[in-house]
Amino acid sequence: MKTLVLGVGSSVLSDDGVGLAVARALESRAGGRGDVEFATNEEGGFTLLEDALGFDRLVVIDAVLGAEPGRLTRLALQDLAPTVHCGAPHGLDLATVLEFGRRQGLAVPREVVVYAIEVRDVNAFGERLSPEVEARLGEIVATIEREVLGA
Amino acid sequence: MTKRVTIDPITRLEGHGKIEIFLDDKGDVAQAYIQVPELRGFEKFSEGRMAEEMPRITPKICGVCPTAHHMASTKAVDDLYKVEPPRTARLIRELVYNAFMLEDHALHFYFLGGPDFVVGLEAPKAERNILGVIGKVGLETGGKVIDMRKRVRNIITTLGGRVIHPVLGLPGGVSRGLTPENREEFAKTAKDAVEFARFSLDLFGSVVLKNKTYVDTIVGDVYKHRTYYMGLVDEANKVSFYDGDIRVVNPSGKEFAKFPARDYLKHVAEHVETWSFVKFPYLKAVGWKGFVDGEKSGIYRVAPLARLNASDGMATPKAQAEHDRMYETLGGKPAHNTLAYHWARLVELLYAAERMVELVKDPDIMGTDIRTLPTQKPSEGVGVVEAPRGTLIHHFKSDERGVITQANLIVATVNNAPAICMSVERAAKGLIKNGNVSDGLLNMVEMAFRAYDPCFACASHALPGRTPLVVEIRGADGTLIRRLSQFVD
Repeated sequence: MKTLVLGVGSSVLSDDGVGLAVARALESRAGGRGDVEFATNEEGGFTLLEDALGFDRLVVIDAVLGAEPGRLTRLALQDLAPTVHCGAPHGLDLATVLEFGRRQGLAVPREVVVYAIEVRDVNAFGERLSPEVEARLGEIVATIEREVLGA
Repeated sequence: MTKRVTIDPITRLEGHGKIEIFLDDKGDVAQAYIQVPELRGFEKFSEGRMAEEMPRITPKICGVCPTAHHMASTKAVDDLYKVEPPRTARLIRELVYNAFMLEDHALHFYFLGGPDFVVGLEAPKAERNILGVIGKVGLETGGKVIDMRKRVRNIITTLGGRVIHPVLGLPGGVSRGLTPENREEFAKTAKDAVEFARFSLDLFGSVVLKNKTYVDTIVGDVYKHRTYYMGLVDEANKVSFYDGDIRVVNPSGKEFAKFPARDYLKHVAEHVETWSFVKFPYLKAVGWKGFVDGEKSGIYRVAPLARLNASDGMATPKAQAEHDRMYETLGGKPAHNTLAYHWARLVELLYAAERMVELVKDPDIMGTDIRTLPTQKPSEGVGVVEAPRGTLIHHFKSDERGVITQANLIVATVNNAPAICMSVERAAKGLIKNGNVSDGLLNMVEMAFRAYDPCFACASHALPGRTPLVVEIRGADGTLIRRLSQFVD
């Protein structure tokens, strides 16, 4: 089974980029395994489908606005269906683009896992994570590594 | 005493926006406005960086328009160093830029605007998305969209690297030229893009224009505003995406102003409402008269329909014919029908494709002189492009080493903010009477929004499970009177 671990966010909007940071950290720990690839995506929308094609499993890591910075929630695709925001060009959400790909007969992953990391602010410029989120990065990386990479 | 109706967030809209509708004592609509979440701290973030780094940083602001930001920054840095790119570099940049416009406009038509028309104005919410569109027009059309997008994006990435980290634009030129193989491939893509645009216009013709309800909705008064219009034009006053002067026409279509981008602030001022963080731009020479249209109000509009209105036509023959056909149907130029933005977007789609054909054919695009090295000390530069959503300006100041001291962006959607408020208010007025909110409100308000293809800065997120669209009606004391939403919690 081939897995894509995809960090999503913007690298210039501080905590919005936490998904990118986590994906990179995972790559540095588990990179080189033949069955897992790591990537980042700062565009969202339709490009999420393009990145996911050809993989059996897709693991998306993204920031969400929430009350407890750094709290990690594991979600299934169905949990996302009614939302439309993933920093998405043209408001295309992950569930819709994947379903579109599936109906078009493309090689869409059969399994999708979404890790949402709560942050307080995604509208402030900065290339560093907030101290609150940064402090929990190790714990987040370890959890995802254990759950999806079996480490 | 006012009541407040909040719609937040708008579904299928880029980024995150919020609408608030204020009711008066009688329960009728007093005022509507949009709230654009402001990205904070760009100025400080930019300070101290090398100017030539800006074209690589600004595309990361928002995944919707990376190429527009890249190009506006690149042009601002040209101007900062007072350096003119060689013709070959200019052609390459324009090719990449038109490829981007084509890709973005196509995505809007099929994925965002299309669902309103193709699936049907009265269709259930769950079907009003791309899946509904494909259900109606067939998988083959979906395949065409996927294929076209892939090949057009290939032009952008071949010449510029990753869309989000482009390395194409340098002060005074570009980083690489075309190989003969690239040219051959791009020529075929451009030719097929013309066919694709034609196909899209035909689809719009057969699905939308042959349906009386749709046509009545487009030409009806609900979404009509007589405003000023702004857009970039070339020497012949034809629509231009990559370069030119900014031209403004009045509501009768007469030229009101024409100026280079660096004079923008001489012509446009910003009005601030006490109840909103949003700045509302208006034409200084006309003045701010509130959220009203007409010749005496300084409100102007940007983006596809505004660009066509502000021009003397299209620079390519097939797009010009479609331009003429559109205005004939709409009853003359300028057209004030907000929903005609969808149609104008398709005319521009065809123009972008035809322009790509011309650019690839131009013998100079194969030149080897792709960069003029800057020799002057930098100080201040302004760059402008027409982004899919309207006029986009980047403005930088630097010290003599080229280190940024000040940076400002005037983004496309902000130009349209006053008009979007008017459109939302108009739609809401017909559907809220004496405090009674008709269930059609959400759809009508959304349609007014989507026509502008607004972008409220990417990167806003909502926790999964929240309803995507909510209208809250509150009494003057803040008590919740009624709550409407598109999805059940």
